[in-house]
Amino acid sequence: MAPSNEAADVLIIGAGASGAAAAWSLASGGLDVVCLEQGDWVDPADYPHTSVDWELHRQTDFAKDPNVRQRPEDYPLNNDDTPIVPLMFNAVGGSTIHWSGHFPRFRPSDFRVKTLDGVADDWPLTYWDLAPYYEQNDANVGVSGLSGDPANPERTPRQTPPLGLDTATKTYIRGLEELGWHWWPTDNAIITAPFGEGRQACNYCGPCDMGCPIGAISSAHVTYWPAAVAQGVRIITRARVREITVDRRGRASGAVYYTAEGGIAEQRARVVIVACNGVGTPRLLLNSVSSLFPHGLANSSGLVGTNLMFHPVTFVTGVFSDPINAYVGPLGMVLHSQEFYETDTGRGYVRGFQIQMGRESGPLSTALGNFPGEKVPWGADHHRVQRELSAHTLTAAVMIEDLPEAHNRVEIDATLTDSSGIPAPKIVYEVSENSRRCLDYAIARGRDLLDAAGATQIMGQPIARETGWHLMGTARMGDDPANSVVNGHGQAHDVPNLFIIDGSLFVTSAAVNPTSTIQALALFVSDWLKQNFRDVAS
Amino acid sequence: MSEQHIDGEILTARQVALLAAIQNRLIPAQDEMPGAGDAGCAQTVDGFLKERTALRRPILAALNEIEATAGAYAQASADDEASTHVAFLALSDAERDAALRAVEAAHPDLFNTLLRQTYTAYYTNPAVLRILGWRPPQPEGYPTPPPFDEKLLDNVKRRGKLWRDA
Repeated sequence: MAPSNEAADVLIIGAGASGAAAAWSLASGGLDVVCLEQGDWVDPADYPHTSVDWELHRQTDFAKDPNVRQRPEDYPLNNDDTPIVPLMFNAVGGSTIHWSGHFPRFRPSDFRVKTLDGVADDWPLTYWDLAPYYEQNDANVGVSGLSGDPANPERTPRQTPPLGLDTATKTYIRGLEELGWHWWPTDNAIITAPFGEGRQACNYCGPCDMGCPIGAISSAHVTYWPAAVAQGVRIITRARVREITVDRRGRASGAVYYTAEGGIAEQRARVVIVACNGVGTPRLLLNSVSSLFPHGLANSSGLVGTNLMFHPVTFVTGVFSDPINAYVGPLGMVLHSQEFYETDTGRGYVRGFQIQMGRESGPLSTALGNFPGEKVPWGADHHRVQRELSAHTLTAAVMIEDLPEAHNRVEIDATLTDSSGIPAPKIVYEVSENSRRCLDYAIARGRDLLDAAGATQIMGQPIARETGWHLMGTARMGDDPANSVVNGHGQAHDVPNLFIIDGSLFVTSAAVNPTSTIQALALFVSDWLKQNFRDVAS
Repeated sequence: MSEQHIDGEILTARQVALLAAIQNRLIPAQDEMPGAGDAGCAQTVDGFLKERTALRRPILAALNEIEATAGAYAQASADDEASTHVAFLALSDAERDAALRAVEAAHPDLFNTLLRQTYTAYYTNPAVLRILGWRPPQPEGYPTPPPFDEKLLDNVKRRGKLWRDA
């Protein structure tokens, strides 16, 4: 093994959304921070957006599913026992490189579902605890949108204006107003005006899901990382962590990792932070087995890996007789409706969902039926159907709250490994009866919306498989060590100098995209750690 | 063989000829649009097979199933099977479509892999995209639309607070 480095104050494992925010926060507090990341920096020249075959890359080296993408830095997943496939990107910036940039916040009620609705558990913190960190995070990364949404608590003016009023947006508004539903321009981590250094305002090119070559999307590698590195944070890339090490007292002492050259090295630290998100974090903890922690690190509760939540998602696509040209503009949502967000038991389920007004992509996406779920037919009708659909559709995503269930889990696969030989995760997950009823209700509302917007044909599918963007709940927060992995400050109950700051922390999932909450939590935990570092590290 | 093809990187000349003929039925020539086989998609899929070994088994199996099915058709109706090395090429367009539908029904996963790779090759083909009027998204992007009009939200604002205190 390479000689151990000098122990850092803090080792962060994972350079994605949460690791980046924490690195910036901790370094700004004067701490010495090292980050290990299994991926590398993405070279802006590698983005496919200027290539004629740009859509091919969505099927290959920029595919959202790591099992399809199969870059050297990706790890495989056994997805045989799940109807929803986890999606992620491994690089400095993590999945925020590969991202639509939706940046909604949880609502106050999302932190109190047990008290309000009698299901799952309350969080050990409230919306109001996190609110200052949501604000700080928005100011740091840059968000487009409009304050004043009556469906959410007030927030400060957004850093840049909302996305513009194109045909897609106007068409959705026609339907929403006809139905009298709540709607609002979505907070997006996409700048629409100058903000930050070296970043350009969105030029409506479309495929955000393969990265943003002009830095308009507020991905962690263009927001937090440059500032963190300027403050002295060291990122070691292509560093694949095999295990977190512990000392004789049962405290985390660092991590052993495979280097870019294939050898092993150890990084020692006074505090270790795991930031690998809802699949990577439990995988690492469960792989970190020792005589003191025979069932995995921080796992005396047996809960590490359990309570996995996705957001079950499906798409409802409307076909319009006039061109919409919705391939222009960020792929993700322009508007959202939270008309059906809070519990109404008369609908046959608890909790709720959000409808996200999305767009369309290029001709290959249309032919493959990426949103409606069915390919354009082959044979004599092919060109006619392709012409009728291309540039003539809008796709609304319905995304429901997923409640925690212990049997939905990440475990270690018995035989599968990554290319370094590190055991790979297996996902075991099923959609609950409550979720199924909620999805069915939500799909029907999506159809109502597109009908009211003037669609001549509406297509959909019961559930979409490749939608596991949101990985949550697998090392949950809580006050009771028997019922949670970490406390309300992200500190492991079993290992006082081990922290978790990613989607694994989530007690419940809400029905909105998680990244702004992940980053707000990372800043919240980091602030507490800065104030208590001396006690925690000794 | 009625259509001349040379060996690919992974596919033999015979398999390239078969795949191109299949692709011309999956996406046939129509008006200004070329058929997928004529557009060179068999060679493109051959390139995919070189890069992604996991595709080889289903694509080769799909070609074998289609050719076997075509052989059964040819035996039932054709009298000059010695004149061709590829049974599928001896079929009429209607017979080719019938053979493809039979394989699609019997082996949907294999057929869908072949179809998906054919669509991928066709809709990333520079000549096809030029005819359809598509260009890469960057560096030009697209024109910025007019700014959002906050007055459109008047009705929503009138409803007042819609979230629960907690």
